[in-house]
Amino acid sequence: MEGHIVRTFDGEILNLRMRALAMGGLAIDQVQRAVQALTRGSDDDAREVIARGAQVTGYAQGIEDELVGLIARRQPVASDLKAILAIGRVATDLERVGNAARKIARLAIELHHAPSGAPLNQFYSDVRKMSRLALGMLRDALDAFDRVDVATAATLAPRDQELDAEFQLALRELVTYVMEDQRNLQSTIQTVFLIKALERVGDHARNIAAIVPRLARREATESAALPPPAAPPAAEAVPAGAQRGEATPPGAPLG
Amino acid sequence: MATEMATKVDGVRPSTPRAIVSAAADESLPGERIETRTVGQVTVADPVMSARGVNVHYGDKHAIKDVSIDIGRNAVIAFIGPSGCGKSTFLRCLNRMNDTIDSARVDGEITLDGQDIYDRRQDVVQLRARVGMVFQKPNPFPKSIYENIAYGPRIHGLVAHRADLDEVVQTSLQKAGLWDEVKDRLEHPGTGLSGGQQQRLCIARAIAVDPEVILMDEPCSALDPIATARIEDLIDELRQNYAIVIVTHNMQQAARVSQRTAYFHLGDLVEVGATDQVFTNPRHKLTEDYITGRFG
Repeated sequence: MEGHIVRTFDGEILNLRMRALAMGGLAIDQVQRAVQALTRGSDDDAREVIARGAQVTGYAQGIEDELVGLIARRQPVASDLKAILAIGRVATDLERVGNAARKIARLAIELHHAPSGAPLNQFYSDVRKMSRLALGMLRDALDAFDRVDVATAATLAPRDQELDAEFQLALRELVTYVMEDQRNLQSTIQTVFLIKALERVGDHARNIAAIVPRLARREATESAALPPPAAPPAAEAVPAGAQRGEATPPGAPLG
Repeated sequence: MATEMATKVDGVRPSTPRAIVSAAADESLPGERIETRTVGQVTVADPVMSARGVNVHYGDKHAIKDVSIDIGRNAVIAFIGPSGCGKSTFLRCLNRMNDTIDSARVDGEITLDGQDIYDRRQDVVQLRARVGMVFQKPNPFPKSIYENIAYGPRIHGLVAHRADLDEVVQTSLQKAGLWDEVKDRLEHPGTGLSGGQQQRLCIARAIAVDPEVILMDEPCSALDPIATARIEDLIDELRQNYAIVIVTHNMQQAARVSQRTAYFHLGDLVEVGATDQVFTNPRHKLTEDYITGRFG
């Protein structure tokens, strides 16, 4: 993203990326704390997550304002425009991750005070496992976005499927739980919402990773030659030209 | 013909250090076109003008290197590139304006409706009526608004009667979007108009001789944003009837007004393609660097 003649433009893009990454750090911490609040039974931690939700929203609004300003002032095109819009999309996904964390925290408080006594303790291991998967995905997605690492980004889709499978599994267990005793219904529904929120965190991580290959496209055109043209009829007529263009891939028809 | 041309072109440029890679020849015209090393689609279906293997030398300086490109009908093509890249030089080849420079030598083939414009039998005055030009600074004749428009049709013998001439003046000014502003003062000097009006007067003057192609060399660089917007709006209307080639330093302008964009760099035509593609997915790194402001 660097190398502009106007160096302040480099700085502005970098600043925006750093803000998106800082927002990512906050979003990860929010999810982590919300899950901890649930498993440790701490209402205070849950309330803190809910209160800090505004910070995540603030990041998203700040990034959007800066994006609009940057587009108005610099009129970015091509890879710059895509990179800037990508930051906006990352911020949108992270904002939703923040919302998911808040939802988990709210449900944690409700579950702690559920009338049916100790709420679904046996599902905490499922929740922990899902949160481990989801947070790992989110970290790697942000890291892949930061380093434009297409290989890491490509791991996110299969991992999201793994997380979805965990979600389905937990869902089936919850159904049997509610069938045993209907008084568990409310806390079961709350637990479903909770694990659904974790499953959504994985979807957002996957969305972020899906942006990475598009950011990398320019690097691909820099190093590789263009797709070879459909063999033009005149190609045989001008074999001498084949040695001229150094970048013409060997064996490719002269174009 | 393709073989001859390619051989000739090979002779001019034995090697190139830059990575200008191959482009697809137009599949719709098999055997008709030679391909160039330019990236992108240099050919269009039914072009009004075609340049093939054009080289321009100013004395020892090789200003245009083996450029091939088609100019499509009813479309705007923008030539962009840093100063000295050859975009204006190439534009001036299209109506033989380089003939006026003694040290300039133009090789290759440029056709208008399939006829070689550098043919010895080509009447250059006639050519410049068919391929009109609008310059960077508005340059109306030091005569009345009416006479500025009437001059061309009169010397080209396009009108027989005064009434016909009146009509040509009116329709030209209307097409240039200037009629309502000047209809009550046609006898006033053209130089008394504002910069933007003068430029539209020059466009009306080019239109008056019923050209096929209008070349515009930085037509808005001396104008304020409002006058620029008027000209851009006019360009969009004019392409219903004419092919327009515009040279501009203003990339946003190229993005706004053109359907195709060609990027020149040090005399090479590096890339040509649909304007949307060039500004969103440039295929050549030099194009990308230039349009994103990384050109060092």
